[in-house]
Amino acid sequence: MSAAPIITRSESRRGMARRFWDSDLAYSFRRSKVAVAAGVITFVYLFAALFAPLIAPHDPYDMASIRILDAFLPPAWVEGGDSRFLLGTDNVGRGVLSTIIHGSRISLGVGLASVILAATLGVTLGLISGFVGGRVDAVIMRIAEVQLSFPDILIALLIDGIIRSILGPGAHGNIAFFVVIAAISLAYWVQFARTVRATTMVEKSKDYISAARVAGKSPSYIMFRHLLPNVMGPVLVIATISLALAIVTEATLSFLGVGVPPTQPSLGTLIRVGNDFLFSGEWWITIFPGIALAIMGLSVNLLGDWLRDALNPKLR
Amino acid sequence: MVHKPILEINNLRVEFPTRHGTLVAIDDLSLHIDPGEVLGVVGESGAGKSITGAAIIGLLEPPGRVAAGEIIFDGRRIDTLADGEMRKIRGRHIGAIFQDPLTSLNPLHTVGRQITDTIVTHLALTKRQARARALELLAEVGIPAAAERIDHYPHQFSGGMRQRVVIALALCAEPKLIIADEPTTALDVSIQAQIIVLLKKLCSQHGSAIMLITHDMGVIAETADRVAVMYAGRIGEVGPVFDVIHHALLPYTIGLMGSIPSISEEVDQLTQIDGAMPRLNETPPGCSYHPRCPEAHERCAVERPELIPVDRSQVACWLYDTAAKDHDPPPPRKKVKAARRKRTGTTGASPRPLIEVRGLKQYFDVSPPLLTRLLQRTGRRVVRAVDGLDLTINRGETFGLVGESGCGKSTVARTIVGLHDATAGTISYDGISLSTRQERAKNQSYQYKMQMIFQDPQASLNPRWRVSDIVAESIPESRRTSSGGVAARVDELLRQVGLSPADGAKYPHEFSGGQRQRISIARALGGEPEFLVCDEPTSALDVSVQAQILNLMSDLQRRLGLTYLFISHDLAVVHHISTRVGVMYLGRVVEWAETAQLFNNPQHPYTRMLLDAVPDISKTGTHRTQVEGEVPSPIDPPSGCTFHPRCPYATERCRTETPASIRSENAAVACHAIEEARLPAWKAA
Repeated sequence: MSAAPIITRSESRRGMARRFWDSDLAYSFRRSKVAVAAGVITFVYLFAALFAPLIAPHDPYDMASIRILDAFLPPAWVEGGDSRFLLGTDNVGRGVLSTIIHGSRISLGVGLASVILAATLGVTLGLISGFVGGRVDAVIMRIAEVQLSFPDILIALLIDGIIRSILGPGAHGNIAFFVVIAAISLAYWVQFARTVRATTMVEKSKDYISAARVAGKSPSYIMFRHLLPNVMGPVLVIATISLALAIVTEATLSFLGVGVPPTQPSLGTLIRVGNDFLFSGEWWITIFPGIALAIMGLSVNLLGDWLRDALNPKLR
Repeated sequence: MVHKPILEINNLRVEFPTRHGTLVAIDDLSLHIDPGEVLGVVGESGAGKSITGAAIIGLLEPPGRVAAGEIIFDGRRIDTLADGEMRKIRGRHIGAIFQDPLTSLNPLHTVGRQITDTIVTHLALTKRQARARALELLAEVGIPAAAERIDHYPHQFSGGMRQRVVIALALCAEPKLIIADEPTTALDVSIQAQIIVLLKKLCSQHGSAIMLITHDMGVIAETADRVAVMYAGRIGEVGPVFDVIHHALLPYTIGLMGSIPSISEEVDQLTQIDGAMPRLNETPPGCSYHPRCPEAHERCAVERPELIPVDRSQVACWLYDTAAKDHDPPPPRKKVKAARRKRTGTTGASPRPLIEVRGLKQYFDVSPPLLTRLLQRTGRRVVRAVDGLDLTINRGETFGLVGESGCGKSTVARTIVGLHDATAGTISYDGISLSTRQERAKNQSYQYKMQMIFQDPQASLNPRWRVSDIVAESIPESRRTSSGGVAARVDELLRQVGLSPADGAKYPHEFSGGQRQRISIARALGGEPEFLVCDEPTSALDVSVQAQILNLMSDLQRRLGLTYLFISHDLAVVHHISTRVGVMYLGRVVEWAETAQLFNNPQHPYTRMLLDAVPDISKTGTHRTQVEGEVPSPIDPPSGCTFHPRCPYATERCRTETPASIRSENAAVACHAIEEARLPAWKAA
């Protein structure tokens, strides 16, 4: 053996940022203009969502600062616009820009929460399905297939309806968020489960799993310590693409009036509210949130597409 | 030489530009092939053998490119030709045979159509004439009932038969040169022998020259006229096959030949070349072999040697540079075998059985789903991977288990360590029965005494785990008293297998194949086992690395008193490492005996056939007896003695009655012919 340089753990960790920058993934990101643009826009959205109260020029939830006299002001550059409200105001006098920033926060938050929930559920069921096989696998996969034969939005609507009818008409406020998140994640877990199941079946036949079994390790140890880290690659891709879908689904639900409560409007709620005024000339109330939603959905989606291609050696 | 070479390569350089800089895969390589000659190109993986072949036929994978030098085929420079021009030469004048016969045929076309299409493309023949020619070729490559088989699809042929079709395809336009890239590597020993004989015969009949690329010195020894030894993108030595194999000049070749186990001699330790071939991006300056070379001196580290003619060979090594006066005259030619030591005798203590396997059966149900079975009115289909196997392994010995692919040897290994639940039969460890899941659960402490080493060093280590975590995995809970204790034990284990404790912080992909196999061994040793099941532990490794691992295993056995079950398809490796050997055929051990006895005086016709078929460097230039037939499917094994369809001594009784094992003192064999004493004595080679 050649004299290997002695690497301590702290040293190798310090080199991790450097290693990431040198990695093929980071290289392919730098090379792709679309990915960089989508990445920057997504980052801007995330940043705005995180620090919404600091960035937004007004606080749309602060009833005291909202004046009904400011209602229906057009964007600043249009005749009659007010420089305080860059993108104009809505029907109750809230600045459209501020509502968009706060709305993005709700949209992204609900989207992320549902994807995390969907991924957790899907990955766990996929792992069990792929590893245990047999009847357990058959039951889980039949449920998944039945669900796949309906459109996602229909599933989300159905689940939303069921939960609401169970909780009764009093279910408003914060509970509504959890209902939406649950509905969306139950609509999207199937993708995760199917992919993880397939990857698990490939990985479990490899000999490091046999070695763990010879060493007398339990099935749950093998599933979560050995298999889980090795099936996470595709999960990352699906999570990103699902995030775009979840955001749009949440907007659709909110647009239909079954989403988040109107007191804390998401982009979808804003579009619905603005929709009433579209033909009376106050177009900005619905158009700007619409554009914001489209750009957010598109950039997250493009990021997901790039990630899928970059991690798939066959498409390289 | 008077005649003009058919292929001449001058100062070829192949580069792969990457974003980390340009990798030079082939550097300043020159060689020639004469008409009708078989040039063997050998070297370990990464030496650039296949890239040389691909460069000749103009099929380098992008971004690879010929950066300098020239390739002259039949007096015409071909490396600068346009794609269209090259296509006319490829197939017509230069044929190609690749390693995997499954992927080199189009699964959607019949073999007849593939051959006729190629003939029509290259020769001025009509479809009808081409088909007649295809038929002729298929018969010539030894496909029985060619007239019927011509309309079959590739999947209807077995591996060996497919490779015959590929040979027919390569020969169909009567090319002057055939590039054969590892043509027999994917095949079983007995099939491999058939293909070598066929390839050599046909090429001499058709007058084609062959560039035979392989890592298997045995194949080269029997087939090639001249041999070129490649190392790190350059030719180190080239010369007549006998000279290179038996009187090598280059220190690398000497080491390489010494590291190959042979079935004809017994040695205790193989010659070992430490280290591994440098990666393309870290080729050392000067002679690229100097960091591993026992004869290296200062000049080797700075100046790169060119090929120097010595006798009938050429060698790139400063040892033979007679022009330089400043160092000693070249050393006398070394007899390769002198470096080896004779095997020391086994200890005379009376054998104590450690593992006893009785009547082991392992069936796998491969039936289609119930509904399909009902619709197609077929019954269940069962693979009888292991079918009534008896085995006794004594404490402290190495029991070698050989057989061709599909004979069930890996299943035996997996069933013994408890990865499969046996269908029937008993397995006992030191007198404790561990045949069923319940028994294994009851005697958990024995689980740790049996560990396993796997074939593929890539797949047997979790790629997301650090080496220290991988090695720590098999340390039993009871010994994990403190975290510091585990870390100290991991360091000790890594040292035991020749790695440094600092390697524990790395991930598996940072290691070479041989080092990964060391990690795998360290993991197996974690539970302080007494018994290691090794399932083809060296078949994915290069010969020089294989020698390192085999030596390490013998070393560990001596120091820790281990018992091995060593499974391999490679007779030479089994011969080298085992004290006793069992030969498996279709789920049964047909013969077992002490190693020397089995190899010097094989009884069972199948054992004899295998020994006849194995390519070995000691057989340089000799002719072989060809073995007919292929391994039948374990789904539908032949009746009676399963070997009877291939056995030259089969009688009516063999077809109907399964032979029982005849025990003698230190051996057993299951054969009616031996029982009836109608088997001729084994002629010693």
